[in-house]
Amino acid sequence: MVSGKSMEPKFYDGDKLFVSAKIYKFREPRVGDTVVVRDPRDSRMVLKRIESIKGSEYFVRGDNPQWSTDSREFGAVKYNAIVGKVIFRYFWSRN
Amino acid sequence: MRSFKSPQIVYAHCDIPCGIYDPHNVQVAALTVIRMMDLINESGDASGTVPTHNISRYTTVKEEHAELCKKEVRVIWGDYFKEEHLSKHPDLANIVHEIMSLSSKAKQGIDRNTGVELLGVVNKFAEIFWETEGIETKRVTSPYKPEEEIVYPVL
Repeated sequence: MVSGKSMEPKFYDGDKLFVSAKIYKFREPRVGDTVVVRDPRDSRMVLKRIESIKGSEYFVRGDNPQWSTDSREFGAVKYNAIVGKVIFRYFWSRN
Repeated sequence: MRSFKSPQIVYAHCDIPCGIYDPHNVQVAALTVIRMMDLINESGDASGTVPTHNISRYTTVKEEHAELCKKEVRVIWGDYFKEEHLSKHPDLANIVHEIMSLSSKAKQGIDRNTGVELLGVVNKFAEIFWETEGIETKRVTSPYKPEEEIVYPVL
């Protein structure tokens, strides 16, 4: 379940998402993927989008950058910090 | 092999989701622009060193506060207002655009009417803002120069 507004207007606080941890066993993460990653500072799971990839480092960013703490702050994350990719949303918190 | 885990929370936050929004700074900035225009216009001929110095200071402050109007409105517009506000107040986009244009015009000149016009649109913006918060407003004359009308929330 999403908590916060850094991914608005795509995902809202309270949305429920199905996240696949397996998909990246079959293909590499790509720019534009919406992913759950471990914040390198405290390991909590955060929802962001992959903005760019340099080698094995992934720069992630919120869709709502004014309300997001992401790679601009905590730096790039490693491949093993990626928990999974958002596949679909099964509950809309709005409407 | 376990394929599915029970739902967990994923965070999509900034570290400071302060939620503090208030158009008051925009209103004070617009009043300041008018006040600086008045001071410049009252200065008359600025041929001496002191008047030139004073007018430079007034102009700098006018410039800064016109820019502040734009900045503060941009933040409220970008971070606070959402789709549902826009559908309820379809004129909001025009109001924001007018604030941007009039702020620039206020930088470029010293016509007091431009400042008053800017304040008028800023007041409309403030009224819409407080309405979306479900808070009534009142219009009062500022108790300090330039003594122009501004919108206050009735708290």
